[in-house]
Amino acid sequence: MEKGIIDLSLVQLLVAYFLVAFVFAIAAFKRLKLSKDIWVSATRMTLQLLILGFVLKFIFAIQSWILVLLLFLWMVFWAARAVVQRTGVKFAGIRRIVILSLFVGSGSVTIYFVFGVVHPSPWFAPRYFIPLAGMIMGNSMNGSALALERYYSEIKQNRLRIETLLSLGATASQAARDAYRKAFRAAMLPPLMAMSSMGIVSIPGMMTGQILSGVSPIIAVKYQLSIMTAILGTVALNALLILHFEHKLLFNKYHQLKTD
Amino acid sequence: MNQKTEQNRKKQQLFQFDNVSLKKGNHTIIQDASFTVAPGDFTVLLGPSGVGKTSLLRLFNALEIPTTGKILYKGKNLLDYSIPQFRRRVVMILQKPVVFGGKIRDNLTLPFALKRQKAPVDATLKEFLGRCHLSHDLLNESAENLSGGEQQRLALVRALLLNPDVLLLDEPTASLDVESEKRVIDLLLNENQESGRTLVCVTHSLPLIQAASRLVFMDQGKIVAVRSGASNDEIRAFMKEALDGKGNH
Repeated sequence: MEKGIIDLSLVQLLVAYFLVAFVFAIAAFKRLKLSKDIWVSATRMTLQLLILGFVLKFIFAIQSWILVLLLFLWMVFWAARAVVQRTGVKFAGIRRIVILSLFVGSGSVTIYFVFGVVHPSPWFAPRYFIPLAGMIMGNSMNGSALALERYYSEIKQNRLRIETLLSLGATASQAARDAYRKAFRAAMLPPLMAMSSMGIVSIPGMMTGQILSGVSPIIAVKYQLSIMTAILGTVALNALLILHFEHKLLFNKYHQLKTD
Repeated sequence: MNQKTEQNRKKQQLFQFDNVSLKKGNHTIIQDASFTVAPGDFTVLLGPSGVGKTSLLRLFNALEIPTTGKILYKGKNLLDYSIPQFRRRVVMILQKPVVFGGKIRDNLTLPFALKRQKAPVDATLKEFLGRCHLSHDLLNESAENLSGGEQQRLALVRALLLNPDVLLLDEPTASLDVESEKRVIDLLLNENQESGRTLVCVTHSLPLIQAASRLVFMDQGKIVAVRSGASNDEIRAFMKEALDGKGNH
């Protein structure tokens, strides 16, 4: 770190929060029926981040791989919960397959990234492991949700077409190929768009944070480039896993599209 | 049907349903269905709407899997076959035929492309189009531009090109105009009577019911009678009775 970061005093933070009060006032004045949303969201953000800050401070001080692992499992659980809730897709076994794909997909990419790219010492150094795992998990969660929902809705909407293909001797994978392709593409589109617009439309969040904390822009760029490859990799791996498991739940070994 | 004839049928059966039931959740769709289909049979599944005829038809090629009981095909449990291969021998044409984007040729050669097999040559495709009263010149046309009746016949051509042992047809003449209906009926009768192809059909079309060699009467998910033929009056009486009975439940 070249220079220390400017710490924000409570007063400075309150000045920042003035913007929330400003938005709240607009919503109330214009009767947008948004006041409650703003209040709830701002409160949730404040509490969640404060708790996170203290938890991270504690974990950074303890430096225990067990705590890091527990935090990772905690992330998997909540990410899976968010995926199931957000997609609104309901069929038996969905929660199990989301947890499994997030754990395997995000876990393996995080480990690959930690051991292959960053090499922190110790390997579980929370200062590196936790933010990296968080970024990888967040993107995996979005990718999984998009793939899961798209595959399900494509299969549901194209039931007749899929059963026609099955009736002509297609395997379940052949019959669902179009749906698979669309679901995979849907998952991959956000990271691909982010990659192609990066540095032109905005400065990425991680880079902004590093630059603000005094890191050289070149180091920040190198981190950003490598994290983007990890995000691309994890989204692809998670889409692959979730679609594989989802396919197994929607079709059976008799190449039948399940109906109940 | 006397006992001896029934025994002969069992020996040469193509399909044998043994106490087949199909349930969805707590709902029983098919209950204890037992009957046989012999090679060359033209079987029509009869009954009022919603009694499970389509579900019974879907059981023939594993689009539905029995909850209990078993279905034998050529003496072997249907589920022991490679199902995609089996479905090419026992081809089902769904009630609403699906044609795929692209040319009519692509639609006809699709089942071969799925198995990476050499597709029939244009001359063969044209011959089959002709058999189904479709113009030879259509091969390069877009399939989606065809009328409902033409799409139904295209689905038939696509199935027949596989030279299946059995054709399963779900209301093949529903929503067709009179001319298209007549053509489809002629084609199906020809396939059965001249080519000896086994047909299993859900239909309300009287000419098809009259031409059937086996009538399977269904009500409330059960097979209530299997007959080798019936007069028009008997068929009407059954349909009326079944409908009245349904109203009483």
